Amino acid sequence: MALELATRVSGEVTIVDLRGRCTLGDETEDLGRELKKLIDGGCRKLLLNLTGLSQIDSTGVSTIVASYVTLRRLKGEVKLLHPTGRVQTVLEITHMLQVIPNFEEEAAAVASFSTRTYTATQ
Amino acid sequence: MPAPCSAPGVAVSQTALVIDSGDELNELLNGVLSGDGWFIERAANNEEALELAKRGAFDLIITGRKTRGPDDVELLRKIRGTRPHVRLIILADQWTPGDVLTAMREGAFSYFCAPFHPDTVAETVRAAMNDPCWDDGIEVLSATPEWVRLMARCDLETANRLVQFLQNVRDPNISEDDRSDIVTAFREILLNAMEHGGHFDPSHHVEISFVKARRAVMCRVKDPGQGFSPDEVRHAANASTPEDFFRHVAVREEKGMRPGGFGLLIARKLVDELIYSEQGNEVVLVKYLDTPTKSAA
Repeated sequence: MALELATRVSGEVTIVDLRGRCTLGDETEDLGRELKKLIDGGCRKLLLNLTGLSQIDSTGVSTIVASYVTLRRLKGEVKLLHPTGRVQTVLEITHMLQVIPNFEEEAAAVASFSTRTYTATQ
Repeated sequence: MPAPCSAPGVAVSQTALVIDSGDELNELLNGVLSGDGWFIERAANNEEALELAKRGAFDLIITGRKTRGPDDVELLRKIRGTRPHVRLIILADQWTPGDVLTAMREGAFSYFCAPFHPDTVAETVRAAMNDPCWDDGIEVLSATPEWVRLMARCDLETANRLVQFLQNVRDPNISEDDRSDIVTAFREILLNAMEHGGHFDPSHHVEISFVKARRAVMCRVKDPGQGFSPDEVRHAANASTPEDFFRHVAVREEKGMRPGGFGLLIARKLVDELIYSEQGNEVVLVKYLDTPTKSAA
């Protein structure tokens, strides 16, 4: 399934639900544009919900890294929620799960934004 | 290689012939095709489909999952004898590992071995409906069960078709995990070749060979570019450690480049060896198999 995006808000945290395949193509470019739009619009606490993601490739990883780096420069944060299967494998291989904080539960992920100390994997 | 595009445009008649696949899949295909305004004709089996295809031109034919893969390939061969540009997607509950290769060689648009995910079928159907020139994208140059050589046009649609075929080569001697690793690594290297070597220019082609030995699967990809030296990819994810991971991002950003090198990083981890030629426009992937295959014993 091609990538589908849905954006919602929980307190100060903007949650983007990703569903389908985040791979080279128009939809992943849409993801990059959507994340840029959110950051340009003032979003500084961004949670990418990967629960419904079935596949990610190097282009998808690059898109997430770009938003992470941009937000870090703006003193904001990107975190990942519940990658599974091959998505988790690719994120591990590319060191994403060592570098970007990631969580199993949405409530814990959202709550973590309010604290200043955390480890990479919780 | 044939001319870059020889197929007629999609919007000539927009008629699909769908062979019975049972209620669930019929309904899915109906939704995808009707939703995009296609007219659908139905056939109960391959014989009826062949008769209908002889009488009228269809832009897309989808076989029924109840039929055997070899029978569907035979149907494809007969139909393409008179309708050479028809897009035919094969859905097969029963198949052999060689069917996918034969189907690719005979010019199938795509091939699905059961079990397959309906969403993936729907996505491929949409790709078939939207791709106006597809049937010169993959050319099988030679093929034995152990060694396949082919050329692939440098465009994303062709890459996706080729990967879809590869995902359905279900060799019983290769585990699911190994197959997934090989396909994922190959896809990254193929897209690197098409993007950096071929600049996604559909007049360019990538050369590909697959070799299945007793204890390993190998894949060679040669792109049409000038190659590269390791210095050029020094500032990339594949040359970084987790500790200094974002250093390469900053350097690339200064050069106006997006974060990169993840494809090489992924491929290196999923196969056992990744060997580049001196020029850097040719790479061999090697994946060692836990259990030796029987065919080359």
